[in-house]
Amino acid sequence: MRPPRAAIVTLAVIVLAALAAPVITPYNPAAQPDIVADKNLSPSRAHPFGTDQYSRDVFSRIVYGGRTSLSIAGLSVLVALLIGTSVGAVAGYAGGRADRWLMRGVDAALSVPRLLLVLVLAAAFGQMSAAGLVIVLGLTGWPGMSRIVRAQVREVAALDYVLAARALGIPPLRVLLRHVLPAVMPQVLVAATLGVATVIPLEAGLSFLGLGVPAPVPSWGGILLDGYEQRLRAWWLLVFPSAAIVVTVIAVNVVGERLRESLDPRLRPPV
Amino acid sequence: MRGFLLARARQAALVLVAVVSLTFALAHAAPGDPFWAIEDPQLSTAERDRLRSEWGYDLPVWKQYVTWLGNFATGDFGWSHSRGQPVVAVLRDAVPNTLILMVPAVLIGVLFGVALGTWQAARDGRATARAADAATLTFVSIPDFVVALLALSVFALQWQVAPASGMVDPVFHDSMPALGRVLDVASHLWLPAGTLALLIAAAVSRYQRVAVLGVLHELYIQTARAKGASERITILRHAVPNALGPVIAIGGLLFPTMFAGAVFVEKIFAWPGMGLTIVDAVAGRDYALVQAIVVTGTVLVLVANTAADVIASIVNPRTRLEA
Repeated sequence: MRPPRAAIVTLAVIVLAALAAPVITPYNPAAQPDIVADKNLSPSRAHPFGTDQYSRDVFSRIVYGGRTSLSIAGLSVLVALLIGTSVGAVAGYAGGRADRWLMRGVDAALSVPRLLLVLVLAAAFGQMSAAGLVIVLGLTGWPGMSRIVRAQVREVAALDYVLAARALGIPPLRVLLRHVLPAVMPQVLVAATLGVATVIPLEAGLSFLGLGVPAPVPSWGGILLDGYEQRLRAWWLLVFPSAAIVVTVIAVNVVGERLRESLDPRLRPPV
Repeated sequence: MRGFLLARARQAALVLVAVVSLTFALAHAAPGDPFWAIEDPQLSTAERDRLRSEWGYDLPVWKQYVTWLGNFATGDFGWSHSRGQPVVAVLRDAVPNTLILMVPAVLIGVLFGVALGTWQAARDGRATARAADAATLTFVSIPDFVVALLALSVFALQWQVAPASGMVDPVFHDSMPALGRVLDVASHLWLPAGTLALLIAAAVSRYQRVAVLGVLHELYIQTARAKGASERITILRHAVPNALGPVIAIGGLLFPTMFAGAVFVEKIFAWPGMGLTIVDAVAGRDYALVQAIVVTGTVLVLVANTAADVIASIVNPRTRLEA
């Protein structure tokens, strides 16, 4: 199977643009140069993606918005990954009653729409900071991860080399950390990649509903909300942030799916 | 079968209690209480304390929890301060509106998705099937709200073949005859429901394709082919029924996602259902209303989930053993 080059290059460009934002953006993303004369300008050489209702440069806002959206997505998946791997590994390796109770809790969490959980948290705590969003998205993202990790850990734990490790008298926690978890890591990586692909739209969606990072900070969903409010006047405010979100999510999805397919024996033709 | 249903019901009840308790716990973990937020300088501390005890906020937390659980169980969801009416009255309008949107969207979306996925699996590897695969991958990768915004911009704003917002004509609806009102709702319904159906079909078809492909490796498919069954019979009679079980079970897991999709579609098309209501309630810090919608939404998802499990167990009796 050949690697998805186009998707990887696209992702690299987006991440590098976000990292190099101060260098490549022509304007300050929060600056409102002339709110009367430069308001809702259509794309031109001076403003490749146009300007918004406050005369801010949309290109600069989208590049800076990538910083917000990507870092929140990445960090929250990291939080979800840490919790999900711990819970899944313990449940899968311990088995028995601990496994039943943990997985019952995970099933319960998975049957509630994640957006609803996030909305309850938003309602209880009000406007969330970027750190708050990372925590909320991380805390609502781990149950899916834990299920995948548990299934893999159970499979690996039944293999002979794990039995051999246990027979040598290595303590259970050490067997789990040194011998079982490393074998599970490829699947965890796939889960994390696909996790990023679900968190980016979720974070953008929250910002689109006005519940994401607070106003002056640019985020892709926030720019899209500006576009929704200006939908009769400024198409570029809808098109460019949408494109940023869609291109990123598709690229991440392609990489994730390709990784998963290459690991899934069911999709290989029988020998 | 009865044991299976009981296990499912017990799981659903557990989820419900957990969600109800979580919303209660969050209300108490959050800073302040309803009287802390009243910004009235005329309101003295003593008066605030009197209001607190009148509404029971000075009782121990466990007592408040028990009272509150009792109220919830009897359908008393409290007062929505942003709407100025009981939460139950708000729900009575919003829940049917969401069902009018969701039921046709789910039915059409699932049927179309199953058909599309089967067709793709049957034509696996050919250019048309690969194009369809790329198309569905694109649709599941595009966030719900972008698809909905696109549908709104193209059909409602650009071509103007559908109304841009709401569920009924704001001026003439009440003066229409019965049939006219139905048609009025239908003309507002087709675009948001079609958008949702498209999203559901894309997701379902991807599962269906993989499920049918997985089944096609099985020996009984070889047997069917070997005894000379046509490709059509092989797929429709032997592969699809065996692939359907997992797809329905996975379809049940899609309901939470579908609900989220409905939230965005309702917001973008200003459809007055539970999704639009909860978004407005969160913005207005109307916690009682948010709580009630989260619990109602969870109930709806659980019912749909359990129904999917039951159907899956009828289609494929083997899944009953897992319960």
